[in-house]
Amino acid sequence: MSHTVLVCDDAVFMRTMLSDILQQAGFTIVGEADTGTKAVAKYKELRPDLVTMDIVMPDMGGIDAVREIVSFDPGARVVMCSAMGQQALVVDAIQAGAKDFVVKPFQPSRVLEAVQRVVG
Amino acid sequence: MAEMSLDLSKYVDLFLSEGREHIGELTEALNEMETTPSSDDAVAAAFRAVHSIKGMAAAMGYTVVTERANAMESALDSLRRGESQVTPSLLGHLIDEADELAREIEAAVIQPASETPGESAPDRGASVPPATTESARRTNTHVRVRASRLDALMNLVGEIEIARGRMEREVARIDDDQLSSSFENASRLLHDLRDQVIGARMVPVGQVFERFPRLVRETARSLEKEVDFTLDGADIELDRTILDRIGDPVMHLLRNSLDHGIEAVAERERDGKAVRGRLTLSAQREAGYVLIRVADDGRGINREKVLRRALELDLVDRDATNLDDVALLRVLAHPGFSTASSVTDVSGRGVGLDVVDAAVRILGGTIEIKSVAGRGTAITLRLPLSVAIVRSLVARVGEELFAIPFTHVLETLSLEPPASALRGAAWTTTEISGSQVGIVVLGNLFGVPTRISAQMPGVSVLARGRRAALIVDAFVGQQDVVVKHYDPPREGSPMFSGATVLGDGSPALIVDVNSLI
Repeated sequence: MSHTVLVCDDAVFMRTMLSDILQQAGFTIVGEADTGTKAVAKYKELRPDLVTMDIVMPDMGGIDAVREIVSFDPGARVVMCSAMGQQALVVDAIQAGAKDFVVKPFQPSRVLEAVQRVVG
Repeated sequence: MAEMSLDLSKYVDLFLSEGREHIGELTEALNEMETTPSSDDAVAAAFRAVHSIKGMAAAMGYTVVTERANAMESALDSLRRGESQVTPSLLGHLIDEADELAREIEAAVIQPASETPGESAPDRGASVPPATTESARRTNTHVRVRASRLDALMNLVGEIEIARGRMEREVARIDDDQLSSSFENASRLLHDLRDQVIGARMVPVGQVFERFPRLVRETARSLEKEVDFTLDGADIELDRTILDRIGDPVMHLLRNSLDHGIEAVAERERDGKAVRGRLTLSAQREAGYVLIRVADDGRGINREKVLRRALELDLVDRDATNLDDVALLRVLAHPGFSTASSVTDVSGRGVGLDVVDAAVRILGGTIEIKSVAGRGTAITLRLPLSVAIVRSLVARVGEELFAIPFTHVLETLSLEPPASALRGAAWTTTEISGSQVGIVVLGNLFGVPTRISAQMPGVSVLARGRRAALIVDAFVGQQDVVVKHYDPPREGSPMFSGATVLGDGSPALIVDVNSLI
């Protein structure tokens, strides 16, 4: 059984690239979200094994979304995707309940290492 | 963890379209900041837009774009945090920067940051840079041209080719050194022009094949098989029309290999084979053709079972005891053979091979099959480089000329027509070096008055895995013929695939060898 993933990023480009990386490694992408609000709603609906979460998104940012997801499901496994220069926000995200983070631009091996550690 | 890399060229289009979108959002947000300097929403929207562009550009390795977006992001971030104020001069600066960023996004995809030698640039369609882009960056500019315009060009080249042929005879007749040398020069240029026009229609097979690695992986996973897939020769070029039409047949062959060829892990272990099966899709140029090959190291085709079924369906001689590769293909490609559901599992192959065969034939290509029990199967599609020009053997039958495409020609020979040919039979057989070979007497077939003599020129052809000899009256020569549209008669079998005009101006029909044997 492959793990299910919800990919959250406001850029189609990033979602596509991330989905490709994860699918190639055997994950099943069950949903995508382009805002924090949608990420929370989709999480509740799909209950994926894993969430990848962008920090900067319109409507509701990724950190607030993590907070809401974790308060809904304390066992939620979220990996943050941050751009370079957002280290400070990563700390916020971990405090909000994210399990790990990867820095854009993505290195496929680094992404897989992080998600496999989290779902493993 | 398995070594993994991303083929960034796949994301170029997405980068460009989404980058343009974000530029639009950025421009809108900056305009709003101009009219409502206190708008936090506008600042946040502008920040998100450059942030997204920065992330995408960094992923693509477009450093120029990344750096400018990063600088803009910093400025917008400090506005967002209230650390600085929107001033007309800052806004003016941001608007200029946005314009620069827009140009750099367009330029980046034209001249990729990490250009690998030998890697052909993907077709980016209408990504023409703005007029202000440095001329140095224009060297790789792409222009989108309608396919019908390329067809028209090809057609014109064909017409000029015909005119050249006529002129050649005149030049030979007049026999003037000056004229001959000018004519030769013009001929050479025309030849170059023709190659350029054909080249303009060519695209690398990778454009269609690059989706296969993922499909193979997913199919293998769903079948719970371990497969290493290799794609070779992605940069080999093929006529766009041909490439578009072979995508599905190739996928079909890959599926067959995964489904029926490559064994489950347990079976491979038991047979002492490497646990991971190997599946290769390769493209290769070979003297005027492109060979597309799908090869696996699976169990091979079970010839006994195919033969048994072929005997039941009356597809082979009653006394046949084995099937060689040629006979095997003929049986498997027989319409309906493989679609009989009871056969698919038994034969271990052949599901829809008739469909693949038909698709390849329409393009003037042929299929070859090689299969060794326990070792694997390789299926090769031999395709012409272009559908517009066909290298042909020109033969005379009676007073008429016919072009026989080289794709099918094995050799020319001289043979003794069987007695039935004298009686007007079009299809017959004769013995050539110990084996029975089908004979098609073209004169009788086409109803052209022809004189049957004791020894006649013939051409040994191969089509649909079957060999046969076509008997003609005489060989005229070989020539690249330009295929012209041809309306086949409504009645009867379509024996011709097109028409052409030869160098001397005489018309000739192009023989559809596949339909004859």
